[in-house]
Amino acid sequence: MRFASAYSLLEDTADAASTSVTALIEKLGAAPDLLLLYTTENHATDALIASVRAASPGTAIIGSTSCGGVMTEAGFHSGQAGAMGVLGISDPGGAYGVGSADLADDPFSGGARAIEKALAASGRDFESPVIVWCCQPPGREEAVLAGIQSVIGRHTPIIGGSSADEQISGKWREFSTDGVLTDHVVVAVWFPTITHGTAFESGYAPTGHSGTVTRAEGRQVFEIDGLSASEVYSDWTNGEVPASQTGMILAQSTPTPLGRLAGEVGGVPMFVLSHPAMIGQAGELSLFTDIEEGDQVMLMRGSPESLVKRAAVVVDDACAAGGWARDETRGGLVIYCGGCMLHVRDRMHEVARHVSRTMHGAPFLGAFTFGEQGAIVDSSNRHGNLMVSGLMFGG
Amino acid sequence: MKQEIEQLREALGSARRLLAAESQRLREHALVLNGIQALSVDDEPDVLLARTFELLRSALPFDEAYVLEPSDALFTCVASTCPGARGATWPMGAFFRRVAAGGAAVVPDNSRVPEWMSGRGVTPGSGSAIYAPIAATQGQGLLILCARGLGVYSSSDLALVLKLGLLVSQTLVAGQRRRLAEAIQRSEVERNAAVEANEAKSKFLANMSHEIRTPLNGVVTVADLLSRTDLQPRQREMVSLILESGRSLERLLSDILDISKIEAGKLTLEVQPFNLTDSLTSIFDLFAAEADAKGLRFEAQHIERARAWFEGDSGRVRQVVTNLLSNAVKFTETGGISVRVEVETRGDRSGVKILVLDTGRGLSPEAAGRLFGRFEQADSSITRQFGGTGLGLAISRSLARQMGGDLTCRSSLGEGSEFEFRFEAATVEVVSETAEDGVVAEPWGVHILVAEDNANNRKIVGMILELIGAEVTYAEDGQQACDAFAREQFDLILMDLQMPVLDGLSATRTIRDMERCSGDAPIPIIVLSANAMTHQVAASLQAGADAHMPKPIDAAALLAKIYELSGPCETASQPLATELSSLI
Repeated sequence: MRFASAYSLLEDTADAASTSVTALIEKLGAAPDLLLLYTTENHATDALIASVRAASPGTAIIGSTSCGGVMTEAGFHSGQAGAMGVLGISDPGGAYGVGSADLADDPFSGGARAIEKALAASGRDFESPVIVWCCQPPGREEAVLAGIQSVIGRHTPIIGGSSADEQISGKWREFSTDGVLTDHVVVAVWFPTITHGTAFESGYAPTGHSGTVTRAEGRQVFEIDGLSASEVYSDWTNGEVPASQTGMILAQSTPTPLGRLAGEVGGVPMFVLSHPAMIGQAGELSLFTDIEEGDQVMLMRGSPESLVKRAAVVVDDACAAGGWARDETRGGLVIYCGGCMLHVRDRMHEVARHVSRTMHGAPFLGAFTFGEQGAIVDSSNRHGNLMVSGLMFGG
Repeated sequence: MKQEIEQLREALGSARRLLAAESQRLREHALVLNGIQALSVDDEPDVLLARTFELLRSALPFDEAYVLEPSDALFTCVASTCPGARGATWPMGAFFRRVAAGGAAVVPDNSRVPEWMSGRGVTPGSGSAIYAPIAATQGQGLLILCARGLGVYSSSDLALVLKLGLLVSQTLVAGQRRRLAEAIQRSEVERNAAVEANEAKSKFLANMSHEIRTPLNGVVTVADLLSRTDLQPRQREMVSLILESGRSLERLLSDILDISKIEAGKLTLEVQPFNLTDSLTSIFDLFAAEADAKGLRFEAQHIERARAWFEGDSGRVRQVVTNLLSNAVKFTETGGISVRVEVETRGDRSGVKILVLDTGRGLSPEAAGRLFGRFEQADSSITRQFGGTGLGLAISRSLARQMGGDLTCRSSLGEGSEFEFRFEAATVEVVSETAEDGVVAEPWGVHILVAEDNANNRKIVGMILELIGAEVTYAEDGQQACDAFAREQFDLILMDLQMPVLDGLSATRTIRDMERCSGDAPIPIIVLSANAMTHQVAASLQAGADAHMPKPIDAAALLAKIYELSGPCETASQPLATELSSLI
């Protein structure tokens, strides 16, 4: 099982795709069995998949738009004309397949249909894959995960991120072998021939402020401990995000998301984060994750320093979970929250460098998403915000 | 300070996660190691497998477990926690084959596995399953763990089962080793039993030989003697029938003894110098007469060219030729029989070929192929029409092969048969031919001690010895014989072997000891016994006897031997056999 990555900052989508995929094949020494493709929104055109398929016919393709750029072992890539990154996997002894389905009104069904198609494409149609890689639009991730799990069970790690754009204006797209897709879930099933490890963490720590959600609906929290959610949140942040500021609060709330305890690993509490996106007229907080009444939420806080180092920590933890020596890392994927990226954008080269150093220079591809999916504690799949999800291979 | 605390917290978290991952791996290794230690090869295979399933269950919960081994074009369940599953079979479908070849799998919904649909026997209940390859005794097999509930297992569970699959492989190998050891032990026991049975058979045959030959001796000898008295034609015919039946019985007994010796690999050739032409001439004469009686032509060719001396078992050569000629005469109704003897000398070795051709009914190729099998004849009608055991040719071929040659048959149905008997023998210088010739066999007043516990046999021997006017003293056991020998002067002793008080061998040894003590010359001792097997003859000679003669007693041969050992020393003028024949 071999990995190679490439990227392009060319403006022309076809040129960028052709250049990057050709370079990747040259490094890999063969056409990849699976190609992971992340681009900025400007490259989400029909020319993208056509060019990739022309450069690497027969390769299964999965990916999505990424916020602000991509990163590889060569660094953080972001240009005036956007960016494109690819990671190729050659694994003749393994099995891979990609499937997609529209979400429409039934994201659960979409998840189930996509995974069935991916399994059929891999030739292992009634098995649980070792890993599922997942790309989908932000908004209904939990239902999509539940749909996928309805077919393969709860214990297969589902890793990935929600497609992202530059201005949260709905220009995010999903990519599959079939083309550039809108409002689709795309999944890839992996039956690799070498060991893998995963980690799903945030760069945030609990502050001590916590409460119980007493009124919620979908992704909106109306009350915490019987009080207005925005008032409580404003109080916990010492007014950094005032309750009176209705509308988008993404930038202000990035350092102080809400966290829910997902479990413990070796005595270390693991949190899934929810990013407050907006304060509504009724004082409700709109999040990028589902939330339910009775959920215990706590205020989390992360520093820029923590966000810069977190990706490398996640990569290291994924390698540790896999159990191989770090210098035997063969390659991997990193999903990094787009919001976090925007928060520490000017230090993203550091983020990429830390990751590359941790992986001993092995090829990797990183994307910046509006929602992250990963497995916490005994492969329990979660969707969260402001998270880093890592999938590493080695040994 | 705050940043340092955060860094410390992160480092601690990572360290704990690393520790947790390592602990999990160590736990898995410990499970495998403990499992291997817990599996004692001394346990029964079923106990081992049950323990292995317990170990697996302690590592990973499951409801049913199956161990499948390949056999022919199927996978067969060789162990399971599910009662009645053992022995169930499933086809070698693509999925099972891929798993067995190393492609482990987690299946979230077991009902979708096509192999379960087409198996015979048990089908696991719905739920999820892990499929792991194992090294089974008959090749690559499968370990399948099933659990109720969909999607219960993960790839990390699979990794654990792959490690623990080693335990199942070890268990199967241990079971196979144990089965192998048991099979070896069983085979050893069976071999010993077979050896014991064979020895018992040999003893039985020896006893049977003795028990049958003793009364047979009486029947044949008395009938023979009776036939030489004045009888009415009808009486003579009846006595002739008794004689013929007795001799048939004797031949049958000899055949059965021979075949048992061949089977036991104990048939030994008694190699002595013999004149081939002389050995065969009397047989040819005999069958020439029989052929003539049936109106058949009999021709013996090139016999004189074979007039040479060889080292070999002349008795066995005669036995084979007699068998071939007997068959030829028996199965030929018109035409004739011819015999050709060819000798090819190569240095001090010779290849002898004796061809027996007849114009009889012949054999089909299929019948010719079966001819040399034991208890085989060309067809069952032959047994009904001509009798015989069907052992003769089998014995003859074994004898020919033991002599470094073979016995083969060329035949066509309705066109007669050609049997070719070949054997190897060392060529030797001409031996003085005085031994076979006798002197005038007149009664010479010999005093003979007869040791024989059977009253009938004593009478028979007495009748024979009357022919040479011998003075006879009887002893009814070995001790009486020794006492008589100490008391009286004898010229020769006839000694039975199986006698009460003191057996014949012991009595012979005692007499030899007495002679050594007294300094007397050894008295000729002839053992007369139904114990006629080679080792028994050897035992007689080793004990000090001068000769061992089988029962039923051939009166002429016995008298010739008596004459040889104790007769007067004058030069022979006529062949002894002729003289003795005139006596009886």
